[in-house]
Amino acid sequence: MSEAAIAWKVLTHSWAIPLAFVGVLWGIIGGALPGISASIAMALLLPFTFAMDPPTAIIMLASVYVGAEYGGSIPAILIRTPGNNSAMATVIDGFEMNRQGRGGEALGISLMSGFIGGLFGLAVLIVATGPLARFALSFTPPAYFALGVLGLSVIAGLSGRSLLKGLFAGLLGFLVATIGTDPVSGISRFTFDSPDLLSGVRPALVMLGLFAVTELMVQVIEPDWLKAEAAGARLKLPGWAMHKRLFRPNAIGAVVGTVEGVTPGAGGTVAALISYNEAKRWSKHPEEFGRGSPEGVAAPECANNVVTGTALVPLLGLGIPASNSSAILLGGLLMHGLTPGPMLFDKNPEVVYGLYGGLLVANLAMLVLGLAILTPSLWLVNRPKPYVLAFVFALVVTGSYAMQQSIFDVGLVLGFGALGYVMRWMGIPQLPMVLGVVLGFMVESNFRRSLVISGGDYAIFLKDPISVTLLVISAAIVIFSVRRELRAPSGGLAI
Amino acid sequence: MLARDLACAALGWAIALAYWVGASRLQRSMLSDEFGADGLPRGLAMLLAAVSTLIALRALWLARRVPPQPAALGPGLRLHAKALGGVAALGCLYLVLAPWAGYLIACGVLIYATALYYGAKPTPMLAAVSIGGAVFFWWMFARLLSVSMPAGFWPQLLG
Repeated sequence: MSEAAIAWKVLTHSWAIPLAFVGVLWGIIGGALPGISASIAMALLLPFTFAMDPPTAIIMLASVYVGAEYGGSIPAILIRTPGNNSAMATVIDGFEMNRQGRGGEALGISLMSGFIGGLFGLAVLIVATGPLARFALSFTPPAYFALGVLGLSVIAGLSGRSLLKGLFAGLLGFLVATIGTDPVSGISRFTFDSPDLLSGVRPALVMLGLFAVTELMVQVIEPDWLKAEAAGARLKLPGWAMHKRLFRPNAIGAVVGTVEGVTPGAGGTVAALISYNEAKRWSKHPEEFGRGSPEGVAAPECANNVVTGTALVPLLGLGIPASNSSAILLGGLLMHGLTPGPMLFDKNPEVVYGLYGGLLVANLAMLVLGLAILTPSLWLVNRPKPYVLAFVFALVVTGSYAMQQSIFDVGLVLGFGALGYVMRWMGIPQLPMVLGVVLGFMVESNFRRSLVISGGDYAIFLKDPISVTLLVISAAIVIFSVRRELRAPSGGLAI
Repeated sequence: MLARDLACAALGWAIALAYWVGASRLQRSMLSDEFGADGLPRGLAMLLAAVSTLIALRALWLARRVPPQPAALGPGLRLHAKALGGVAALGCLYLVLAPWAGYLIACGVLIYATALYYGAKPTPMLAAVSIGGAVFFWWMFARLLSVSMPAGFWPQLLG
């Protein structure tokens, strides 16, 4: 029986299709709620899948992942509150478009780019699982360090009008990332003997504070959150001309999402940020980025949805979970007595090819459900401002508490909100700080592991071919970004 | 802009100093590598101090080079204090209320107080929306997503 026939049989001889829709809806709800990540949404559903047959259970879990990665963009665009880490880059232009009364257009672009990204990721998963899994296996600590540096290199492009202040923010984020348990010796750093800080500061808390709470404060002095015009309050899918314009950022998102997705530990957040930076570099309208550029929404949304497919490459090909979400999927496989890895293709083809078919259904479900819920979402955020802001605040404190059931975390979010407000007053961009928090641990732990391996020889970073390649690309990105900003027509970069 | 940049530099120096002092007080571990747990924080603190210095120098240089501009009409100190202090106070209200009175009441009060703060009128409609909102969030997080929300004194009161 051919692979397609196996997939068809799995989809049509079980509850897989309706359950994929349920999974995507659950994922969108979870992804849209701050504090409920894709992995948490999947973990909550895990016990319910126990009684299902293995292919259906895996399809349902994977569908939650697809829905959650997409769902994070909805609050990012509408209320400047990323539902998950990977929607961080979508905030920049998505919310700006919404402020300009183009929220419906931003949501339409995010939906279509997410759909395209999801399908591309699935195609990569089907075609290239074998070779890409081997590529993922060749990553060593120096290569992971270089990957983190590559992520940090986009700070230059995210610094707005002042590279120095972007660097300042990145360093602040990096310092926040050093809070918690030291990755090598295990001693506590800057925890003030508080058990709440032992595991460090979650990037999601920093994001909620810097974006959502700061925006609540800014709304007091900048009451320009106007009700959208009737046209802006409706979902607007991109037309042919817009699709043509978005081809390049979507292609960038697809390539970056593929590389980052198959690399364990990188994930959709880094993919989204690098895609945003590259889309800006290759755009014909780079000056629009940060001011409501459709390309600035398309590239990160495409990238983080590509990851929903490509993150499964190391899982299916090698049995290695590349992210928290694929670790939950691994749990689902093991729960049903399945061992992921190359043998899965021979022993349980119905699971692998059923999953391929299920992911296709999940992406279609994302499109259908997105079309159904986005207009009501737009209507909701166009209610009277005091009511909307009150609900946003309640959502932020509830979501930040939900992450670890900790009131301390709510206090941290408020603290980061105040810091974000001060940063905004000083003209310090917020995104580089979040990037520093997200990548700080990865960079430090792999830097020090590499030095332990090499006995303190820094040449280890130049001996590993992947590390060298990534470091050279990072250097090139920094040089190009600085040159571009210096040559910017609007007065150039205030170094 | 000069004042803001100098404030930014001062903030950077203060944070760098705090991290440097904090890093030098970290205990040494037998398991520690050559770089040490304090290596990165010290390095970052130095970098932050250097960047802050550059920000201050650039601000001073620009202030000499560019003729003084008429002050831009921005929000005054009172408005900044209202924005920062108001939202922080609302957040603190929730922080105090949630562990004591439980999530439902704290969330309802937060919605009501926040809406008032942003200019809503204290109508029965607002009270109803606050109660409905709190119940909706509780249902969503506590019931649907099985998150254990603060219960407050209710379990003791109800036995």
